[in-house]
Amino acid sequence: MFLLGVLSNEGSLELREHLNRGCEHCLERVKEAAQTVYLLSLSARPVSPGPKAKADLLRLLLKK
Amino acid sequence: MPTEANIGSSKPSGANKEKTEELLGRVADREVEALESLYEDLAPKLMGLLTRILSARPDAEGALQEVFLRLWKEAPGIARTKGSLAAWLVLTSRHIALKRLRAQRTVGARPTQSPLGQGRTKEEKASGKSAVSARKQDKPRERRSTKCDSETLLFLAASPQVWMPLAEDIALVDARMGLLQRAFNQMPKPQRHALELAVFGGYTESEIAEQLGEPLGKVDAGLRAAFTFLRHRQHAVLGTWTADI
Repeated sequence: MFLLGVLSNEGSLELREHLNRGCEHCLERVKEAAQTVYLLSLSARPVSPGPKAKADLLRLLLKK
Repeated sequence: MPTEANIGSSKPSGANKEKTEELLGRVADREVEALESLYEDLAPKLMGLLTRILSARPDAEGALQEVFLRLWKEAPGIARTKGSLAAWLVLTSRHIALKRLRAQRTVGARPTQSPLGQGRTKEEKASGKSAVSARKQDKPRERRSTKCDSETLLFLAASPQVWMPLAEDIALVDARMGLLQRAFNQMPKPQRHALELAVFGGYTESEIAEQLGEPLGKVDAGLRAAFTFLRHRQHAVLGTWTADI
């Protein structure tokens, strides 16, 4: 739920501070949760972007 | 790095594994053609997620562009984490889409949309309203709370090493995606509904409680139960626990 960004600000602040202290157990759990969020996110049907979207992206990259 | 180009597919990793690792390395070396190849491979899945969250195609394409521009900028750092590029792309796409969705909600510029997207019922489609919007029709969108946890999203964006799963773990998820999606579909409907509001609607627990007209405690317990349900099945399907699904 932390990874989804649905916790209250107070709850997530506590967890962020805890993770910043490097708790290995919780870091493992967050990585495991990321797999679940990945899985849930990919339940959406694929949609092909239009050709202009790719052309615009490439144009921006070549400008940089 | 495993099967990133095979993102979300039920096929095993194989050649895509090396291909994506090589492509990420070449993107880090500033090769536009390598980014173009990753785009060809991965954009439809990411666009599916972005469209589900943002609904409007131009918005989703704008977000997709932002995802790939960030990949271009951050490729060297991503490569150093040795984590899964597919997971980085999917979670970053979601963060970017939610940021845009919140901005839209703040200005209240867009008509109410169903966060459930393709999951809308025939009645909802016919009326042009989601079940949620039908309940909330007397509350304009801009008056809703928009306090999705921005600080956490910023933290996650700045610290991918905290959450990025290993590439081989995501390769296993990809290889068994069909089974995992079936497990997701077995989830009790109310839990699934609340989870979809969180994943695709970007609502906080309290916003979901408000939308469903249920106590916060009940929504919190339902979301936790949904995650536990999924985690157990994930372990079973991936073979890290022995359990039936």
